[in-house]
Amino acid sequence: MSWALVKQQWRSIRQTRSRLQSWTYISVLYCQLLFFKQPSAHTSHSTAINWFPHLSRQKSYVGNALRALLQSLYLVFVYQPPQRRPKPTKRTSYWRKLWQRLTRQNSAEALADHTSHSMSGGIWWFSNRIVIAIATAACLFALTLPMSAPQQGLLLLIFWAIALWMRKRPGNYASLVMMLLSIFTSTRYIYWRVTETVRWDVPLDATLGLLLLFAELYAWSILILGYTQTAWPLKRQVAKLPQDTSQWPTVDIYIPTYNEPLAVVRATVLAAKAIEWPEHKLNIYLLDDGGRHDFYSYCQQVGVHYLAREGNTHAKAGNLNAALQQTNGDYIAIFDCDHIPTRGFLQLTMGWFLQSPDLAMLQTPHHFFSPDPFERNLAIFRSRPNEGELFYGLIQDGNDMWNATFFCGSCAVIKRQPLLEVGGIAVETVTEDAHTALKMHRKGYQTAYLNIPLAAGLATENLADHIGQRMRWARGMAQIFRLDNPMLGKGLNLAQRLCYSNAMLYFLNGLPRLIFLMAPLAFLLLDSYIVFAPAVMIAAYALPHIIHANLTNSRKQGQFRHSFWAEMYETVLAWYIFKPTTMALINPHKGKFNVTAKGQQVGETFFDWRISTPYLILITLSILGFCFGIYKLFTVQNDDLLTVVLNLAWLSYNLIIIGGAVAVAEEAKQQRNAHRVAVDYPVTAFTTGEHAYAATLVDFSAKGLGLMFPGEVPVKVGEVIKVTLARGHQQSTFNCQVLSCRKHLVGTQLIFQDWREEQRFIQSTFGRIDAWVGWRAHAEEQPLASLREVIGYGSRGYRRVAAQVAPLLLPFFSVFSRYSHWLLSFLPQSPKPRYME
Amino acid sequence: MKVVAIQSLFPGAGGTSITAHLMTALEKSQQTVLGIDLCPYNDLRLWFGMPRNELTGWTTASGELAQAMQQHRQSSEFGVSYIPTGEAGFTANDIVRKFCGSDSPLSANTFEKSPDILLLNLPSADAYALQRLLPLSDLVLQVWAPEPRVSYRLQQFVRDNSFVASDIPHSLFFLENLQAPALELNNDISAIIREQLSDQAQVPACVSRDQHICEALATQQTTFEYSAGSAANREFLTIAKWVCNELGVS
Repeated sequence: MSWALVKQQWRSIRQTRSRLQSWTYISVLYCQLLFFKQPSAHTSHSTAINWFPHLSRQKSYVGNALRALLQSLYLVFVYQPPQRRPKPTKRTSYWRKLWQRLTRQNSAEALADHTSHSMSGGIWWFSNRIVIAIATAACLFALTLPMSAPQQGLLLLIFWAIALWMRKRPGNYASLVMMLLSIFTSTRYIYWRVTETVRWDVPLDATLGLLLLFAELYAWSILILGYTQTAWPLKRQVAKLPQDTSQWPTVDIYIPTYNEPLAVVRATVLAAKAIEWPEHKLNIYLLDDGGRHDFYSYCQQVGVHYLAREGNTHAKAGNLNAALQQTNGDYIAIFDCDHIPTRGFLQLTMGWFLQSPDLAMLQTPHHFFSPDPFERNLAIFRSRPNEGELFYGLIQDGNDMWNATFFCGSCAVIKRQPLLEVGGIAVETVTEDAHTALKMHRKGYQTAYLNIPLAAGLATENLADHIGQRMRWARGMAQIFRLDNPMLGKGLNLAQRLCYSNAMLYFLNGLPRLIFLMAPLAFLLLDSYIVFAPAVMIAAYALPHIIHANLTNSRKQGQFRHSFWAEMYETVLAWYIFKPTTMALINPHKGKFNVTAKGQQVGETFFDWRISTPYLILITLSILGFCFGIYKLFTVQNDDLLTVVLNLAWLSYNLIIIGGAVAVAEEAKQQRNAHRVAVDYPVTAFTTGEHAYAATLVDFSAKGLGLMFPGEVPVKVGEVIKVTLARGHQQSTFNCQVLSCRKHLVGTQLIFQDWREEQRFIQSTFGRIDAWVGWRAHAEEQPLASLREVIGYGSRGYRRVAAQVAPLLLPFFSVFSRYSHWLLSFLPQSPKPRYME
Repeated sequence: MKVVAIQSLFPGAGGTSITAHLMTALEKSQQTVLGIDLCPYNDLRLWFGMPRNELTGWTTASGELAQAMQQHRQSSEFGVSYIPTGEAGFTANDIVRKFCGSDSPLSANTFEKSPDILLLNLPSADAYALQRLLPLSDLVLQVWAPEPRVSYRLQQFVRDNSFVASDIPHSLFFLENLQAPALELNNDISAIIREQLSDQAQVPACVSRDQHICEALATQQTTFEYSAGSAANREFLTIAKWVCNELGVS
């Protein structure tokens, strides 16, 4: 690098930029070149990394010097490059044995083991207990040790440094260390809150303070239960079936339906018929609780069994139980009527049943090929993890480690005998699936989870339906908690009790969430000291708790749920699940099963005032509190200044989250009733002139195909073309009528001659064995980026409300949004590969 | 230099068109290729723009084989090298005998510019040609089309080439041409024949029936030059990739 070259570059840059801009530009350029870029980055475009991604996006260079400085500090002191993760681990017998040792103390088996132990075993047992006792005492001492604010701050810094160091370490042990740090800091905080921060002498403060304390104790419990549940996800692999198909068992496929249209059910029936399993060992039953004649005719036509019953007592559970009496397969695979199975569903799941005779149920993920209301209304479909990914991506894998996988009602296989032993599908609650699994666990059976999407269905179509479905789940879980509490009764080990309790307690989050949303108002509006402690102490204790919980969850869950999104999901539901869960806890026998509507349309974009009313009230109160807070900033005495600032910060965060919740209430237009799935498959299109064109299938639905041609579109609107799709080595051709031609894209409508052709189409698309694998690129989660996103969605919520009630305010939001983006652009960002830009 | 021999299971199965397109596809895959036509119909040249009335080729030349090859080596407008058979009234057996009669017909020294891959277009359904050239080839592609006669021809192929019945050589593969999944009979025949053939003996790709190919021949060029959007281009590139992989050339 010669000086002349630098001068030449300087002159070149100066031609288009000011002196300051040029200096910034060249500094960043050489900084990247000299310090950050790896040698390979110069030669391979795909591996080149942009260490200052937000600088290249800024058109204006004002402030770039500061951005570069902040980013450099972040890269030097905070950023840790991602490390290669190890291969998935198998279920280690060590962990099982350790846990069994801790949980089977009172079982007959453990007793037998104990009595047969030799003397050395007895010494080991005794020394083990001594070590546990000493460790527990040390932990209790550390948890309860009083500290001043500086000491607590120092502890925060040390723990924070350890957590940041561990955060990017590969493997589960680093996660466990982070969890322990988080549990320690959170428990210290909770101990401090319980023992030192409740003001008992003022009734209002005591009442509100205890309410907040209750919410925090709830959150702390859920945090620890969640860590336990996901401590070591099993990541089960596929178990092979024997080569000899005569050893494969008989399977009944149940497709329960009630009021869904035939168009939705048809694809599921055809895909079920196409599942690859010996024909004489597979029976498909459509369980029609609606008793519809057209369903009966359709079943006759395609050759599947049609079962209907008198009435529809106990809804879906009753429907399944009625079928159980009339069929006799060794195993039962259950698919909701919109869940289209892939052709390999049974071959990939049944192996575990043959390997483990005690296995009673195997669950696979519920995958959705249509956007849920969050994904549609916030336009994040397939770009961010959806609401269910945390459960099916991490929690169920965690449950599997503890033999506590829940049955989720669909996309699962159940062994008939254990199911009959527990009296069929549970009917006492409205979440019959989880309750059935609980009963089977109590009988000592195992359940398993295979985290491969082998079926896909339709997500709820609008926010109201989504909330309705979650209300049912919440009510059902609360019912189980009351009627068949997992912490009580026989048959479960401690881990199973904790996993089930977490699942049920999670749905009681309505009240705690509402308390958190309103807590800062207690001080700002009512002058109530609900946390009776100096603000600096609150910060010293609360910050470690919050930071560690977020860092740990970001590491464990980031791939499946980005930071800060949980708050938004829970806030949307909080008000609505509060009432049914409370009622179910008081009177668990009340409440009926509501069917989730599928395959609906949203004619026009509209704002759902009915759903968002509670949140608009919360917003009004919060804005009022914010105004009071601003007033207090200038009038309050010095002692309370930090308290006001803390409450204002908390309130601002709440306002962002509620804004995000309100943003989801604007229902985006959805006119297709057959959802299109975006793909990238090579296909061949034959024109009427028998010319074959290489095309790409860019999307498909049950009714049409979207094609992209590399050059000029060779077809015309109205023309009927043939499109060939590959299915393994086989190829199938379908007639399609061209509906639209735009540049290289062609929209077509499928024309099926008969149901067999439709079935071939389902096999080539929805039923492909790899249809749902690699659905969404898993990028590493960035908490700061998530925060920026959530702030953006919060702001969008207010803009949408303003558009409805005060359009004159919209220019204000534009200006606000622009300046917010400008301010947020100063936040450091994680480096990105250049190909992602 | 690797040698690939291509033969139709029966006349009209499309061995010559496969040879021509595979040559072009391999050229596009950065391989230097030379195609030699051993078929008495002398059609390979037509895909590369050689005037129809020009009937000379390596069989029409006298003297050493190497010299004849060199003398009649042609290059298409798009840079693909080929050597036509020529029309001197020889039968298929005569041509093969003439080609194989030389001391070392397929050594790299035969050609002034030795190609990476040498493609031989064998006479259709000719057991003698296959018998003579199979040992000299690294890869042999038997081209078949899903027509009613294919089943009989396949039986005949097994009868004529008894070595196939006992143990199919590792270098011998069957390639399906003119596949038309939209046509029921064609589709059924295709499925039946594929079922009969061992998976290990089938090229894991096929060529669709495409009017572009006929039109390209009418204009004396391959589909690569005739129509950029043709499905055949993608299919031939896939087969070329597979061929390179089988031959171990990158």
